Amino acid sequence: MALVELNHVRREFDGGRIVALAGVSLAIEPGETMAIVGPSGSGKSTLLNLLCGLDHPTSGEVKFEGRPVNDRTDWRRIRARHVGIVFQSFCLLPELTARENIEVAIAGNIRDSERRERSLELLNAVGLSGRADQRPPQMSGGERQRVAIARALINRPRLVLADEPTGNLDQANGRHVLELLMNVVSSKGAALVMITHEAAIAAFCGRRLVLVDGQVASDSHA
Amino acid sequence: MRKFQLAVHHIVGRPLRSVLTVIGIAIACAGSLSVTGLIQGVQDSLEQGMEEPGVDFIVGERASFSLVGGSIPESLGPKLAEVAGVSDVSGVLFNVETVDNSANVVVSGWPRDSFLWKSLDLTGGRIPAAGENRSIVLGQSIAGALKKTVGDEIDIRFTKFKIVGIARFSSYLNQNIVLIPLDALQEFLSRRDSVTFFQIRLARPIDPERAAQVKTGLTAAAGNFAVFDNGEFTSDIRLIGIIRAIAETISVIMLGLALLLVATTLLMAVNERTYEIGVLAALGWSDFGILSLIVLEGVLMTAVGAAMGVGLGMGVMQVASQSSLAAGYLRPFITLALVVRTVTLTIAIGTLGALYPAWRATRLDPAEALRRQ
Repeated sequence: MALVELNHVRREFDGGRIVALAGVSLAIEPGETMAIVGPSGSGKSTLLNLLCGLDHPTSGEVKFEGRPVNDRTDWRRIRARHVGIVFQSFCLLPELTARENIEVAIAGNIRDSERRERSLELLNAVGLSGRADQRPPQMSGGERQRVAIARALINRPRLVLADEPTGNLDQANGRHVLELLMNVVSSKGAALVMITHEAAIAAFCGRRLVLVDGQVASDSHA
Repeated sequence: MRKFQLAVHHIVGRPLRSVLTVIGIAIACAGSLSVTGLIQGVQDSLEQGMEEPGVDFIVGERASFSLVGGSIPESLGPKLAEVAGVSDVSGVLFNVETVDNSANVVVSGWPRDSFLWKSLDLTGGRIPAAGENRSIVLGQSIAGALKKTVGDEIDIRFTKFKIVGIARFSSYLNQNIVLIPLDALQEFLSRRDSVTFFQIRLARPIDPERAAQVKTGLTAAAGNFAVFDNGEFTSDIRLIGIIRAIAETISVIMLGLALLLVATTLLMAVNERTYEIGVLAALGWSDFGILSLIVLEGVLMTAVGAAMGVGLGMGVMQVASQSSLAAGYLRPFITLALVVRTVTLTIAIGTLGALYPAWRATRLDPAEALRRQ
C-alpha cells in the first residue's frame, strides 16, 4: 500500500485563473526517496503542500496510507504523528533554543525527560550536540537547517517532506546538510520527498518527478 | 517544549507590550476591587458602629433613603421600652456635618440619660454635663485627624462646640463620630422631638427564640416603623443600595476594559505571529493546541495583572480612607471572599478576551501563514 497517493489532483487559485496543478496522479511508497524538479511556477511547492495537507485540492483525492483525507483536523493529526517537514527557510521559532525548537514539534503527552532525551539524541545525530541551548539567530544557516531536520524527525515520521532544504545554504553547507538528511532519513526508514532545482541534488534520490506547468512531465526511477 | 513555557516565552519576548497590558489589567482589577471594597466597607462600618454599644435592634423608617433621612417622633421611645424583654431604648439623631470646614463627619445625638453614654470608653475628659448644649465628645480618630484634644473647640455651621471628652471605639464609624446630647442636637438642627431611629438593647441573657419574641413585640409597638437587626438596618438603606449598584456598574465597566485590553493585545500578537502560528500548524499542532496556547497567554497576563491589582486596590482603599472628606465612612475593607471574587472575575474576563484572538489564530491557513515570513 502506498504511503501517500494523489489521484487526479487539481489545484486552482484565484477562482481558476491560475492552475498550479492540473490533474496530477502519483503514489509514494514507504521508504522511497523522490526528488521533485521543475522550473519556478511549475507547481512543486503546491504538490508538496498537498502531500501533507497544508493545502487542499480543488478536485481529486489525496490518500494517506490508503485512506482519503479531506479534513484539516485529520491532516493535522497526520502531520503531527507521521510527517516531518523541512522548509527552505528553516521555519524555526527565533525565541526558542535549538532543543526547544525540536521539542515544540513533539506530538502527544510524553515525559519531560523523554522529550529532552529524544531532542538531544537528534541534535547529536545532526552534529549539534553542543548547540542545544543556542537560539536560531545565534546559528549559521547550515546549523539552522540541521535543527530543522532534527525537528522534522522528532516524531519518527513515515514521510519527510523537504522544500529546497539546501536552497538558502552555500554549496559546502548544502551538500553536508543533504548528506545528513539522506542518512538520517534512511536510517529511520522514512520516505523522503524533496523539491530541488539542482540535478546534482536530485541525483541523491531514487526517483525523480519532473513537473512542468502543473503536470507530470516525467516520473523516473534511478 | 511545554505550552506553558512557550506562552511565557511569548509574553517575555514582548516585554513592553506585556508590561503595559498587565498594568492595564492591574488598574482595572484594582478599580473593581476598591470600589466594591469601599462600598462594602461603608456598610460594614455602619453595621459595626450600630452594634458596638451592645445594640440588638433598631427601630427606624422602612426603606429609608439615607442613614440620616429618618424622622421618628421621640414619643415612640417609651412605648418601645414597655415591650417585654427590652432592657434599654435610646433615640438617636444622626446627621452628617462638615467640621472645621474640612472633614465630613457623622454627628450623633444621644439622650443625656441614654445607656449609650454609659458604654463610652473615654480616653480623656468626660461626657457633657446637664445643661451643656455646646459640649461634645469626639471619637479618637477624628480627634487625631483634626489635631484636637479635650478643651479645644470645633466649628460646625459657624457654631463653636467645646470638646469635653475623647472616646475610644473599635468600629470605624464611631472612631470618627461627634457625640452631642440629643436635646442639644435637636435644637441645633431644628428637629425638636424627632429622632432618626431608636437603638434597642434587650435584657440579658438573650437567645434567638427570645430575641424573635421581643422583635415581634417591638414590631407591634412600632406601628408604621420597622424593626431591624443591625445588618438588616444598613442593608435597608436605599442610598447604600444605589451606591452599591453604581460601584458594581463601575466595576463591570473596568473589567470590560480589561477584556478589551487583553483581546486587543492578543489580536496584535496573533497578527504579528501569523508566521509562527503557521509553523505550529504545519508541525501538526491541533486547533485546540493553538487556541489553548493563546488563551494561556491571556490567562497568564491576567493572573499577574490580577495579583498586582489586589495590592494596588488595597493601596487605593487605604488612600481613600485617609481622606478627611469621608472620615468614618470609607475604610479599607478586604476579605478573602472579595479577593477571590475579584481575581476569579478578572481571570475569567481575561480568558474571555483571549478567546476571540485564539479562535482567529486557529483559522489561519498554515500554507498562507508560512508565506508571510
